[in-house]
Amino acid sequence: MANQGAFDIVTLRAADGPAKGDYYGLPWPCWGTPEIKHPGTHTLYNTNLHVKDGGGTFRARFGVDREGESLLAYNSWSKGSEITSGYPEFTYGVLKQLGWDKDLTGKERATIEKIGGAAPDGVGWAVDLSGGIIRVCLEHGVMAYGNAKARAIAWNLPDPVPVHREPIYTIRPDLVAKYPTLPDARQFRMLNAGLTHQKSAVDRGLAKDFPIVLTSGRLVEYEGGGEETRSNRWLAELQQDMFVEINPADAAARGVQDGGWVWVLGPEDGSKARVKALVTERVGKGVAFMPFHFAGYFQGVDQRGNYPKGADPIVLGESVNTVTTYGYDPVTNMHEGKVTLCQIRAA
Amino acid sequence: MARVKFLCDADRCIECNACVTACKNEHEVPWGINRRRVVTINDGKPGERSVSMACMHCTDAPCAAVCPVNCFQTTADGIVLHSKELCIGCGYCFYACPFGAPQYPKVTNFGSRGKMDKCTYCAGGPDDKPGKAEYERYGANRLAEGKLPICAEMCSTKALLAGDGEIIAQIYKERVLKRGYGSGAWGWQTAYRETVAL
Ligand code: SF4
Ligand code: SF4
Repeated sequence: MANQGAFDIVTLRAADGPAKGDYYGLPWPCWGTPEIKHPGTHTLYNTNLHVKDGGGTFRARFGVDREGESLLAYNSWSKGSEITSGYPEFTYGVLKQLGWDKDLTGKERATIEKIGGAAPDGVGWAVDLSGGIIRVCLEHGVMAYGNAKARAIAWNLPDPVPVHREPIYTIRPDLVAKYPTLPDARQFRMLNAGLTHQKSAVDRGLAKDFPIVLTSGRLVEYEGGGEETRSNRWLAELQQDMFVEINPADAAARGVQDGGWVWVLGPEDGSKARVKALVTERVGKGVAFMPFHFAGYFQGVDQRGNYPKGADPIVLGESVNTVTTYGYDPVTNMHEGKVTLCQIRAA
Repeated sequence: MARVKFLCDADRCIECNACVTACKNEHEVPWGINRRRVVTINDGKPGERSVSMACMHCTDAPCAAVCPVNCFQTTADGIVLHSKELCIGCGYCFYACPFGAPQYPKVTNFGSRGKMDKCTYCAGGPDDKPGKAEYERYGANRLAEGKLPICAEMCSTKALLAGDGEIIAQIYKERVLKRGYGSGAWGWQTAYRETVAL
C-alpha cells in the first residue's frame, strides 16, 4: 500500500516512485528476470501495446497447423513486433533461424546449450533457465510463447465441442438414455467408471429419495479449502458457519427455518453433514448450494482435537465433499463437486 | 476546511466486505466489534441492495447531544470524535444514533459496557498525539498522514466514497447521470440533513 498513490487510476501504471512504470500488483504474466523490469500484464493478449509495456499475443499452444490450415495468427501482431505475422513458440532453434541468437549473452547461450545437451535447438523459452530467449524476444517486440489463433474445436478432448451430458446423479433420469456421461475408461492409472455409476443411480431410482440438486461454490471471504482464510480472524468473523442455501419452498416443505440446523444427506454411503440453513430465493426450488471452504466437522462431530496443536483454524464446519459424490473429469480427473443430489432434513 | 463525509453508492456495492476487513485490519478492531459493516436488504431477491455502514459523522450529532459526560467533539473537518478518557460506557449514544454505530466491548446485565468504540474516520482520537498510545485506544490516524479512510480506499467497486463532501457528491452525481439511475445517497438526509440533488 505504501506506493498506492503513485498509480494512475485509469492506466493502472505508476507514474513515479519505486514502482515507476509497473502496473498495480505486477499482474501475471510479468516476463523475464527481475533485471528486465517488465511492468506486468494488465490485460492479456493486448496487441495495442508493445510486449515490453504489457502487450501480448495469443499463445501458440496447439501446434502450428492442422489439416492443412495454419493455426498461427493471421493479420495480427502486437505493437512494434519485428515479425508482422503469426509465429510459433520460440526455441533456441527458432532464434537461430532468425539470426537473433547472436543477441544472447555468452552466459545465456551456455545455459541453453547445457540444458539442451545433444539437441540444444529444441530448448524452448519455458525451460530456458537463463531467461535469455524471453529477453531477446522482448527486445524484438515478440512474445516468446508465439502468436496464434484461439480455437473453438478442442480436437484433443473427448468432446471437441461441448455437448450436453446429464450429471452422474441427475434429477432427470429420463434424459440419461439420450445424454449419457462418457463410457467407463482407464484414465491415468485409474478406472473412471462414471457411466456405471450413472446407470446404477438411474436403476435404483435415487432421485426419488434425493430430490434436491446440490451444487457447491465459493464465498468471497474464503479461498479454496479455507484452512488459511478461516485462520484469519478478520475473515473468519465474517463467515462463522458452514451452511446450505435452500429455497423458501423447499424449506417450508421440510419445516426448516432460516438459521436453523439441518442435515444434508448425500446419496452415497449414507453420508450426511450437519449445517445451518440459509433460506433465500437466490437458489431455485429444488436446488441447494453449499460453500466448499469448510472442514473440521465430520458428520456432526467436531474434529478440533485432531488438528496439530495451534494449527486449527478459528472457524470449523462440515466439508461439502462429505456429501458430494462419484465422478471425475475425463481429462484432468478433477472430481465432480458441482452437481449431485441430496435430501435435507431439519436437525 | 472541507466538510468530510461518507457516501455509499448502493447500486455499486457488491457486499464483498473488503471495507469491513480493511477497517478491522487497519485498527486491529477486536472480534465482535464492528466499526463498519455491510447491510444487505432483499437478500437473494430481485432488487437486492447492500450498503456499507459506519458512523456517518453527523451534522449536530445525536450521540453528542445525549452524552452525559460530553465525550464527543466535532473537528474542523466535521469528523465526530469520541474520548475514551471520558466515556463511562452508559450506552446512551447507542440509543441516540440512527445508524447503530456505537459499539461496546462488554456485555453485562448491570453496569458498564466498557468504553464505546466507533469509526473515527481514520482520524485517531481527540485526546492523544498520533502514536502508540493513540493507536491502542483509537486505531490508526491516517488523516494525520494525509490519507483518507482505508475502507473507501480499499473498496473493490469504489461504491464507498470518503473525502470532501462536495467532491464525493459531485462524483456520485456524475455516475448517476452517466448510468441513468441512482437510488440516492443513503443516510445523507438523516446524517447531514441534505441529500445529493440529482
Ligand atoms: S452516526 Fe451515530 S455515532 Fe456517528 S455521529 Fe451520527 S449519531 Fe454519532
Ligand atoms: S468494499 Fe465496497 S463493494 Fe465491498 S462491501 Fe464495502 S462498500 Fe461494498
